[in-house]
Amino acid sequence: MSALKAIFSRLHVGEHEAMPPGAEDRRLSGDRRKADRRGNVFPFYDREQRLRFAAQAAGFGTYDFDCLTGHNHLSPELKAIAGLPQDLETVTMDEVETLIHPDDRPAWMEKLKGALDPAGSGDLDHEHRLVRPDGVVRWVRVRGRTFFMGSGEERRPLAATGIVMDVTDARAAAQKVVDSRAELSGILDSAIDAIISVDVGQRIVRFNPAACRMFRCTVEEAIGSPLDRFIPERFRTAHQRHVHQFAEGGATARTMGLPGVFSGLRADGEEFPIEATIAKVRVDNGWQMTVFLRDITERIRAEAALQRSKADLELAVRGANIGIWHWDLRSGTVDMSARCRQLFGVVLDATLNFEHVMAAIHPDDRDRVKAALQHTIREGVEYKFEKRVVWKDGSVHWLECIGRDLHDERTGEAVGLRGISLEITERKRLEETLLGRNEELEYSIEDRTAQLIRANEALERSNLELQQFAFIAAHDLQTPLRSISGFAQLLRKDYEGRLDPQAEAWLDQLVRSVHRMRDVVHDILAYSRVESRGNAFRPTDFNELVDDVLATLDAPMRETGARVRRDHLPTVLGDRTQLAQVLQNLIDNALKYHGQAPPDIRISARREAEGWEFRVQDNGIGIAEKHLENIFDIFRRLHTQQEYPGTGIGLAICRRVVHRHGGRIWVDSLPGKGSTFHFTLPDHPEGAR
Amino acid sequence: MSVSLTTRRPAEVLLVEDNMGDILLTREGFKRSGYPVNLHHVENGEDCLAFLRKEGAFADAPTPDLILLDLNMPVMDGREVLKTLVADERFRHVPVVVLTTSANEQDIQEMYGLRTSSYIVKPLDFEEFQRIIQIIAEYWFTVATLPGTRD
Repeated sequence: MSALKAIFSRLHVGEHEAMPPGAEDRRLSGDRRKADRRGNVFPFYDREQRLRFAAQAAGFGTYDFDCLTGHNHLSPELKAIAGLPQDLETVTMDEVETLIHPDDRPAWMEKLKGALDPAGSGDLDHEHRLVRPDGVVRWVRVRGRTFFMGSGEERRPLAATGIVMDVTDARAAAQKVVDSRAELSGILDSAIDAIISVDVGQRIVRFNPAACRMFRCTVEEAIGSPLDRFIPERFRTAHQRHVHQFAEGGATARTMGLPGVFSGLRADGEEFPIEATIAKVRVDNGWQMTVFLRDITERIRAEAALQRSKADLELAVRGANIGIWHWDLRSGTVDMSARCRQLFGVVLDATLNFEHVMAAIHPDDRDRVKAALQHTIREGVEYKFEKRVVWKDGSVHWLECIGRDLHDERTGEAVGLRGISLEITERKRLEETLLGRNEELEYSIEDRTAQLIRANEALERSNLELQQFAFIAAHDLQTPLRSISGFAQLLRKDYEGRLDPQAEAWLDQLVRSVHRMRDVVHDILAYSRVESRGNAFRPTDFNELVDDVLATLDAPMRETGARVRRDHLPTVLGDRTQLAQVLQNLIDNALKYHGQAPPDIRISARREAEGWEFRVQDNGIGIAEKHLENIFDIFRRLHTQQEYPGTGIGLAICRRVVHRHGGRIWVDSLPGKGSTFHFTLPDHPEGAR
Repeated sequence: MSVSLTTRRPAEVLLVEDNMGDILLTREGFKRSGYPVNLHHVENGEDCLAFLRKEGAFADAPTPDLILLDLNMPVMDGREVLKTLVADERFRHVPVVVLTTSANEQDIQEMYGLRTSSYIVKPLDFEEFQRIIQIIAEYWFTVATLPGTRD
């Protein structure tokens, strides 16, 4: 049993039930009913007839439903709306149900139930779809009323009648309106441009989100306020005039203002350039204006920047005398700036192609240039090369060329080359000159270096020879010296008393001279040996070394009553024999050059960054400042032999030894107070020999 | 108690020295030492070897008990002489005292490397020289026992 049948069974209606008295004629045809009722129910009949006519005239369908028989009488119009055959007399509610669009059935059922409910008003007003037997769907609006009989518990629906309107077209039109409103609203909301509509009184009636962002105010603040509030004061009069003219004129849309001319005013007071379009639409009560605004601050800024960089570029191109050229691969033509044509030495007003350009290039450079350009076109990389061009007058000019390929954005296909050329003839000439000079210079440096090496070798050889000479000379002097000394001594001894006093005095002087010569020879030998006969460097304990030296100086120390103090001293890498010689010479000097007081000598050492500094300090006669520098020179003596005997070689030997060890030696002194000799010995002697 | 050489016969000493002054001073030194010494002298290394081999003019030369050898000489120097002597079985037993002006460490090392008996640097002072000669004579002729002297 269908849901519909359930409703009817609850209402105790149906075609198998007995009809109540007086209701029977409702099952008859319209004509019969009219005839039966004419007379006693005329006013009702008459009214019904008129209503039916009105419904027919309006294109409405009507129905009459007899609740007792369950039969539905449909007007011809309704049959047409529902797509039913006109010869159909009645339809059952089950048949009606099949006509209702399946999706709409539950709601329809509910409404029907409500309309037939004896407790209700009996009114029905519902829209739903019909599915006609031919499959066509129509929207219908049903308005009807149910007539009841009896009262209270006994109240029963007797009949229901109503009209059915086909509202398919009306609904579609309404939907169209809704859709277009939504579309418009969507457009307005998502538009990048500010869209503002004003009424005839210039009051804002529409203000989209972009306008809110642009003017920095809310929709609520904007709606109803005058448009002027968003226009800087100085533009207001002119703006109103424009609007007025526009409103009066025949045009319906127009662009207003030029960049930088028309400005907007944000809620926070900031002005900004605007590009605007205005449109007018006729509405119920006159015109409505809509303005479309675009904030062109960024565009103006970008344009200004572009102008600046264009100007810069132009200046640079002009200033650097750069020629610009463009080769269109599709047309095969080459455009050259006037400067470029000058550089290439081509005719100023001719249309050029690639062959013309190649013809201008020096024959030796053509293949190279062609290859570079082809590479650029193929690989899409920059090119940069130097080439020669030959002008009409035969002169050759060097150009530096830089450029890149141009390609179609969509296909990626190379469509051209754009590049610049710059004359570098002068630079090339300078480079070549410089290259030549460089070569000359290199040659002369090499030459000079070779000379220096030769000179240095000669010097080393001569130095070595000199050392060798000094050594051999000193050595060979010893032998005759020994003879002179020996025989003088033999004479002095063996002939004592047999020579007169004058002869003895001369012999004494001879012996003294020989001894002095012996000292000199000895020192020269020592000096010449420093470099040539040095020993390997070994760790040398200066405590032992000083003690050994002091032991050899025992006699002069005793004679002078000297006091020698030695601090604790380090162990240093060096030639022990030579370092002993240094100490011996320095201490010997300190013992020799003493003043009234007996010598007081102190030997100490101090740690330096890269080695040790040794000091031999005395309380002697000191050295005048002017001699401090040259005192270490060989044969430099400050005193006569009678005052202080000496060879003038001792300190020269000291310096030579210290230098051989990579150190320095110097002295500071206060005349009359004493001298301090310093020498350094590095931990890692560099040129140790 | 060893028996001294010079109590039985004069010592035969060969001085290899090219400088006449040094020869005279050495001779004077030995004379003053009081020891009986036959001091022979040659002026270079070649003559030294000829003397030892009794060649030519040296046919009658004795085999020396001691050689005093200078280092720096013309024709053949002391180093070569010493090298030749130690390589020769007949002469390697003869003691050689190097008596030279050179105090060079390299020379000293080299000569002891060639097994010289002694290395003495000649002093400039005659008295010192005399003392050294005295000591040489005393040591070699009275202290040391020389080969071929204990018949």
